[in-house]
Amino acid sequence: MAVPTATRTEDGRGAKPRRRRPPLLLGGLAGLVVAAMALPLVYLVVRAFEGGWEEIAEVVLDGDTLAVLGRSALLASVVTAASVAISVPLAWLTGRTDLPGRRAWAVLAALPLVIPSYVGGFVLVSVLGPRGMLQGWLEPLGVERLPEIYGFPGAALALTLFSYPYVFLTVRGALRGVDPAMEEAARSLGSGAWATFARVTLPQLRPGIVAGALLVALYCLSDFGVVSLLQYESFSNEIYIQYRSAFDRTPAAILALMLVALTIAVLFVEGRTRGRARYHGNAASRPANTVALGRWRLPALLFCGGVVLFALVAPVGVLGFWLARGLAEGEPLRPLWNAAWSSIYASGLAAAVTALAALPVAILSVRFRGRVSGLVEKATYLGYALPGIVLALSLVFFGANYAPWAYQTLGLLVFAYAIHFLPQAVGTTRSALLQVRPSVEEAARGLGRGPARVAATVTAPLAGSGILAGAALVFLTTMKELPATLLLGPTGFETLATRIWGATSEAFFARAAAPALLLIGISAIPLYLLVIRERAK
Amino acid sequence: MSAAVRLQGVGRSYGPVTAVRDVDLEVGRGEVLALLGPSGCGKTTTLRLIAGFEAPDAGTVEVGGRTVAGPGINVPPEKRRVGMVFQDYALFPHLTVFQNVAYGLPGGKKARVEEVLALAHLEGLGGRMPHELSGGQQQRVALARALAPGPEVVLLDEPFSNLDAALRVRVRAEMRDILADAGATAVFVTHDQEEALSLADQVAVMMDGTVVQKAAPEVLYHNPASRRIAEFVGEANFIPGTHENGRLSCVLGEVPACGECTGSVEAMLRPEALRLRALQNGGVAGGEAGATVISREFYGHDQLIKLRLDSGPVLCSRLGGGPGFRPGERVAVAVSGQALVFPKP
Amino acid sequence: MISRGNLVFAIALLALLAVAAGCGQPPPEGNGGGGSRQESTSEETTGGETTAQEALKPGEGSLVVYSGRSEELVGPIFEQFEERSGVDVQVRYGETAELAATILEEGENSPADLFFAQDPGALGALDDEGRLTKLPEDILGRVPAKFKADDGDWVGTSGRARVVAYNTEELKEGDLPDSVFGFTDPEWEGRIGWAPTNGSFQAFVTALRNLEGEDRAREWLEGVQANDPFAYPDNLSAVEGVASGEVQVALVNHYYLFQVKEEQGQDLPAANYFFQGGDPGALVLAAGAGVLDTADNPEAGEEFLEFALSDEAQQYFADETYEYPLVEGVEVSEELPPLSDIQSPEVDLSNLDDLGGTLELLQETGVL
Repeated sequence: MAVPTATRTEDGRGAKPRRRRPPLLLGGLAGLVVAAMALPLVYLVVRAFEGGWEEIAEVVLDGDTLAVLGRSALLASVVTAASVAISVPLAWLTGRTDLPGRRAWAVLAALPLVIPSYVGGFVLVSVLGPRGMLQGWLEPLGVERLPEIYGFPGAALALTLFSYPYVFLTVRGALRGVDPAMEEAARSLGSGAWATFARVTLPQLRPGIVAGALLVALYCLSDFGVVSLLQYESFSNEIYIQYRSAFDRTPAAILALMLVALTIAVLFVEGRTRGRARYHGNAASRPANTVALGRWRLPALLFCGGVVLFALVAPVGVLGFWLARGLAEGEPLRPLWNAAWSSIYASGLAAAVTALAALPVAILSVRFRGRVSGLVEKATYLGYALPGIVLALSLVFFGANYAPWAYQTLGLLVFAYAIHFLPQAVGTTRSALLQVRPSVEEAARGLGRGPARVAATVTAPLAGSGILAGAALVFLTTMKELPATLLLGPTGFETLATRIWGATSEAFFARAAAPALLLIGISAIPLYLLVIRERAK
Repeated sequence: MSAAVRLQGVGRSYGPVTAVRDVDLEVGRGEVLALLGPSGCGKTTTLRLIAGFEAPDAGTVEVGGRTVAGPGINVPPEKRRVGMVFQDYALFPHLTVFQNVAYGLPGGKKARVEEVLALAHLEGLGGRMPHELSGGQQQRVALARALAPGPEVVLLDEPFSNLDAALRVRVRAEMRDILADAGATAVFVTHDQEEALSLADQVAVMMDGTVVQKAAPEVLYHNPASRRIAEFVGEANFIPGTHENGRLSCVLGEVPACGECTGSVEAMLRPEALRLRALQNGGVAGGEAGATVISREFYGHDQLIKLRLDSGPVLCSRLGGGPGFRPGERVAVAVSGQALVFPKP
Repeated sequence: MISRGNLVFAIALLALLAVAAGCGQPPPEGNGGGGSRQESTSEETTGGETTAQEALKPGEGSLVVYSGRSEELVGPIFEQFEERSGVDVQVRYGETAELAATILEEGENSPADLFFAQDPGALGALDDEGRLTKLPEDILGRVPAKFKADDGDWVGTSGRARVVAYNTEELKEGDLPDSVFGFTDPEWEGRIGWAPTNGSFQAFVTALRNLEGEDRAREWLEGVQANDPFAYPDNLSAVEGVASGEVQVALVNHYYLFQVKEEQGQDLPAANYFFQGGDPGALVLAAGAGVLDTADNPEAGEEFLEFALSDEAQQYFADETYEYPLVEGVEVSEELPPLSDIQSPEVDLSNLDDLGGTLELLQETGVL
């Protein structure tokens, strides 16, 4: 993936970007996308105001509510920081040094992305829990009790391990875009390798880091699987408790709106961090020099190995163990083909639809930069940060009452996926478009092609690889989606994710392990292609 | 006084491909050397070998009298005290102009930065960000940044190729002045012979990975060591002839010539050496040849006239910016100046 | 334009889709064969048949069920019903509360005919909103009064007793208190586990409030909370916690023990303890179902309930899910004390719908 969200001057020579009005079609399409984003918000507002202002005040001003909001914010901050701390060295080690087997390490480092959080949380507890596997292994060595895994430490660890790849992928892409001439310039001016990295390379990586960090932070706010399994009282937990205990959707809607407000705050902070700098995203004229690690080779390998061990090997290993144990005890395993096919089919559709929906937003944001297009881009994140249950119920509300012909069809489900995961596609599409020089499009216009034709026949193919990358990312995330699938899918629609849920809710671990492993296996393929494809570029 | 840069027997290969072989070069202090050659000739590699971004397979590199590369020695770039200006300037986009220039100065000495900014005619621009500057300004910032730490030598990699033609000439002059004012030693790489000839004190022509001639611009222009060099460094006319005792017999008559080989030779005449006279009614005088004009390229300050001699060969002549001649006109061609002879290929 | 690498990537993705297509069947469009697909054998035939019946519209011999009970447990019941009646059953599985919320959001346009709930709270909530219709007498008559709604809008299908699961290696039955209030004693500090987000637990707290009054209920909550109980996300993890020794006792529903034993082996060091003497801790709840007011096919719904309360289905609940059959004359699993032996307190389950109040109490005392 190339550098996301880096703004870049049009011709790299200091000319200001032209401010033009976007064509009506483009504006209309982008407007439709934003309107779709707004549906869940409309639902929330309707529900929230059912109880009147008093109820809203009661919920919002409750000390406990604010404390929980603070806890969620703390979790998101810590996980984001930890993800960045893991990803930047990983990206650097696999992209710029002579680490042995770095191609393989890059793929392995990205793979934890495909593990659903509700699976990962489970595994973490069973490995690191007070009576888990690790405890069992260490007990003969005299370790009485491991440090507490439940609560904040466990939740932070689990979320970090399974969402850091978002940052890893974006930083890796950004690293490719750094002009090696700049690092050479710094070295010619007397900076050693470390100083060059800190003073020159790292600032260049900032847009990539921020883009990935945003995805991680907002994901933490919306996630429910991990925080419920590891028993951390986060905001999403609070929302779920309301739904599960009170059957009164009003307080839940109010809480969800507070979450939206928090999201807006996060987006605002992100906007400010962009700063004055404009990053010249030059495609590197030559590949960057690799840095020889020398005696740092062993620590580097240990670092990579450690991360991969906890984030990938442990979950897959535990799942395999459960499966083997279940098979050994003669557990019947239902065939998974239908569920697997449904997963792939639905995720594929979601990927295609989302990539298409991302196009107008991304084109608007890149070619017609301005306040409005910036707001449009930000708006796409609102659907991302909402817990799945909220999104699902909002579409239940609209679907059942206003579009019954679409309700509980695959189409509406794919629509829900698109709303939920749009920012992933927008980010990568934007960065791909940034690398297409406007002069190429203008040349095509000069040859008599209209704007839509140019977009389809010139821009899209050139930006194609980035757009595909965004689609792949959406595919991977949709494969593991659960709450919307349960409520909005056609009745009887089964995916691997719903199968895992069905089994884990009754502690049939072997029956959960098989679909989980299959889900991981299937998802690994597009991810592998995604990562190694970059090398060919 | 030791040379600022000295390369001896330097070679570098990438697998089966030899980029640079057996290069010997010396750059005196305060001198500007141009590395000139067609693409792929190894000039950029040579530059990077001096900077330290590549290590030589053979030979030694000395900077400021100190061996920085050679058998068992490879001093990293940050320790070589070599400044570098890149083709795309490589300015740090997240730093201001001031901060960019101050980057290589430990302690960021304000006075020195101001001094260098003034030297590069960038006063008052210290607070700007790189993307807010024009191409020419960015280039000067890159140069200032390289000069600020007072390096032994400044290396420039095709520094003008990113600028449009009109800008190029002016920027070249500015750069030459800045380097002279700073008293800096510089080595720059270019494939543009005009650039090399106009800017450099010495020009080293590289072809196929090795230095084929190193000389002052005039010497290079008027006395190229081989036919290939002659063709590369400016327009050249080649006609066969016989050379004996400093006189060449050819279709243009008897012409003074210099060069070592005698007998049947190929003689080179620069376009400036061909004089044209309108031929009205026949009548070529002695020492002249008749020709018909084929085409004319008018450059404002001069023009290049392509003509076909009655005896066959096609030559070109450079005239001043006057009326000139149109295609189809009949002219008489005379030689004013010397021919340079090369062995017949 | 598209580089070769990208082409390979795109083709690979398409190939993946194609291969999966070859392996699987076309995706279910709306009328998936959900209900008929759960089986404990590895056959797939019924699934295929149902997808071929895509053209079947609801209301023509089809039943749409929203089930908070999992496919693994109740799937076979639906299957058997389908075979018997010929009605095409389509089941949407989910969490009880989320499905209830969904039904409420769907409002008049809800496609659901029947709502099958894990616990009575959700049924009560729907009933309060007037979403359930009165069931016929012959269905209601089959279960005792306390296992159905007062107004006859829903009926229990199987009983679930609140118990204390305890670790048999650390404790003997005699170590356990006679009353649930015993757990407020400081000697139990750090040894208790519970699942406060679970519907049955909350139903229990509601019953406690009804039986003993708000203040006593608060006392109990605060007392146990003072003993630093371990809060599990659900009953299942609580029982596993007991078995692994993480906690020594847990307040759960009785049947989870058997599920965990099945998964992890019969020699699990855990057992159920039933409170005696009408103690609130011995509450017996029921999973149940009701027919929705928006049902297209209420007759099929009632037919299913008849089946669920038939001896055969009740025996299934007794044998396979280890729950208590509610219909007279059906044998309970040997491992369970008979329903009549459990001295359950007299609480009307349909009065357990003041969950809002319970939630408030739980939040005030810091349990939630």
